[in-house]
Amino acid sequence: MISKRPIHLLFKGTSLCLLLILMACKKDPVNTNTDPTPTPEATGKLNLEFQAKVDTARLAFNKLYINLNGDSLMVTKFNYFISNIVLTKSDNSVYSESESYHLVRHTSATSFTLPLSNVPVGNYKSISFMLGVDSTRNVSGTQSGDLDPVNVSDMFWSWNTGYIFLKLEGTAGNVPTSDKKFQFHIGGYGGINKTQRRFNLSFGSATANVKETATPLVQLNVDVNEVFTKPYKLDFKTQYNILNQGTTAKMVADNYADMIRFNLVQNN
Amino acid sequence: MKHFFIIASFAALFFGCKVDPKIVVANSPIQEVLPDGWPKPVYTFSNNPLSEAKFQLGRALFYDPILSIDSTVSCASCHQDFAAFANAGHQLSHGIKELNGNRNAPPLFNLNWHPYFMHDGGINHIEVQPLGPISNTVEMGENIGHVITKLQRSARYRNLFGSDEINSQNMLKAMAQFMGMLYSYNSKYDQVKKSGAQQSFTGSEFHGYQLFLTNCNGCHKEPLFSDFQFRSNGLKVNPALNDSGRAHITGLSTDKFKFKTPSLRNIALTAPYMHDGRFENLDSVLNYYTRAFENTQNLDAQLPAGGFQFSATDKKDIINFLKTLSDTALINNARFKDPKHF
Ligand code: HEC
Ligand code: HEC
Repeated sequence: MISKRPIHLLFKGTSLCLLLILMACKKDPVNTNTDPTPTPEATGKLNLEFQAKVDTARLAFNKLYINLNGDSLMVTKFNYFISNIVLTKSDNSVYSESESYHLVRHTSATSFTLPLSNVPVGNYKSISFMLGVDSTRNVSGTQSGDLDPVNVSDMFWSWNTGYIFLKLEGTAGNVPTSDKKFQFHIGGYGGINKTQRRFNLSFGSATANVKETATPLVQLNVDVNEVFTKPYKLDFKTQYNILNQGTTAKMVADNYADMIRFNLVQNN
Repeated sequence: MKHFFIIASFAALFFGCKVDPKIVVANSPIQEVLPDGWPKPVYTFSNNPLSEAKFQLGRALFYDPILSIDSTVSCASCHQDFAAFANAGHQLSHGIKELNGNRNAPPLFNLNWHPYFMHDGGINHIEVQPLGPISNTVEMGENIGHVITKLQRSARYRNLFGSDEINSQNMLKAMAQFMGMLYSYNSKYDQVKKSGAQQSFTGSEFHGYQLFLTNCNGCHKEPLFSDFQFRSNGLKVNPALNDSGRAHITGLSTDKFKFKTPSLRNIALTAPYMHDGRFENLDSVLNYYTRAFENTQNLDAQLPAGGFQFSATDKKDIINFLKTLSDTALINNARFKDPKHF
């Protein structure tokens, strides 16, 4: 309250002024925060690992393989957004991560781990998340963290606002161009063009036991094969550059809708 | 413009309890006064409280070629104050390394009422608008991450950002403040429409206004002079550009050749006209609207296929009315001009 007196003197006589001062000083955190903070719920961590696979084998970049359609191809890039993560405990209570936006960028190791912190202690039986970014964050202007275009400039369309939810690039024998490159940039946040897909994955009979002293690992398999095959068989002869939202992007989204599966829980 | 942008001097009181007085002056909130009878803006600065410091930062960025890869092109290269922030005399935009874009640079004012940006509406928010030209390879050819690095290295910008972190959110919000504050509502038309108006239309302007209300206002709707819908006004496709307009974004054949209705405020200042700048002057535009429309695929139902029936006088009167939409208070406002601190 150091400055209350000098300001008052400066504008003495005006009641409006006094009102403003009262408003200004009420906001002072030192005054309002007198209650002791309640003891926080005990929390721990959980590691969520995404393992890129081709069918059952680990995906390797720049390595030739044959997909389920019989096409030979190599993958050079595989990124996607995971958002709105919700964990459910055995007693059906849920934990929803706040600011839950993560870009999974499979690099040469092809395994990617999201460290989730501030998870309430307990035994979790399932996880749910969205592949993609909810429409709200696509239409609300500038964003931070994993949605900041500085960090994810290759996953953002600046000419047709919106995030690229999944990016899969590589080469395939059947692509009719001389460089054989295919590029799948899949996005579209709203209306008929929605390409976000939600996954609800049960841990089966296992639980991931989060303790203050122990961090469980939940491992998920991400099968690249699914992107090309079911329910829509993609033909590289015609579908090798998917660079905008629309019908083809939606087909790819329906294909990746079951791309991620639960593999195992490791309690440490 | 002082009349409209009251810099609240009570700001000092609000911050007086805790902040250094020097910063208080720089951060004084700007109070906007919106014209009576206008619709509510789409963008209201609700998550981006207006302040003098942020406005000045946005202004500096708008005029600074540091946003382009080779420091040759600023936003203002294509959006010039004297042309109501359109690009005078350029049919198509002209970016780095003498490269040409494929559309005409639209004027910038009253942007807070636009539900989306660009001729095809591809950009959905004023705060992310600058990312379009910055990363466009024929406009500024940059990358937002690199722009932020350059700003962090600059003493000038460390000073302008003040206590705020130099990151993309603070940069883009400041640019939204500058762009959003480019209001235009002080034309002769606005003076005439005010209750107890001191000014009035000439006979020719008045007749032009009547014709405008009957024939043009369905799309170029008062008071913003746009309904911001996507419509086709029947222009022949330019084979060199093959621009499908809104369909470029939606992929729908029903959106082919539709463009966002442009505002006609300041129209006499923003030649050349249409998304590809094909018409040099307003006479050509009016002549166009009086001929049979050339491209009837998705032609808007409000347009008579054979063209409007205007006499030479009608056309002259409409143009005289359109000239009353020029706002010298916008183009002469010293606060909107190059801060020249480079
Ligand atoms: C090389 C020229 C050029 C540069 C540089 C440029 N613009 Fe533009 N601007 C254009 C063109 C052309 C369009 C229309 C593009 C389209 O419709 O595809 C446009 C559109 C816009 C619009 C949308 C207006 C409307 O009515 O929808 C805004 C806002 C804008 N520019 C702001 C900026 C800002 C901010 C910068 C600097 C970061 C900038 N521009 C840099 C040429 C340019
Ligand atoms: C059916 C809706 C519609 C009607 C009615 C209409 N216009 Fe337009 N007008 C448009 C659209 C859409 C554009 C933009 C076309 C483009 O850029 O390809 C446009 C562009 C213009 C432009 C160029 C604007 C610029 O910034 O380049 C002028 C000038 C214009 N119209 C004047 C008029 C006049 C005068 C009338 C009445 C005689 C009229 N318009 C009637 C939809 C309409």
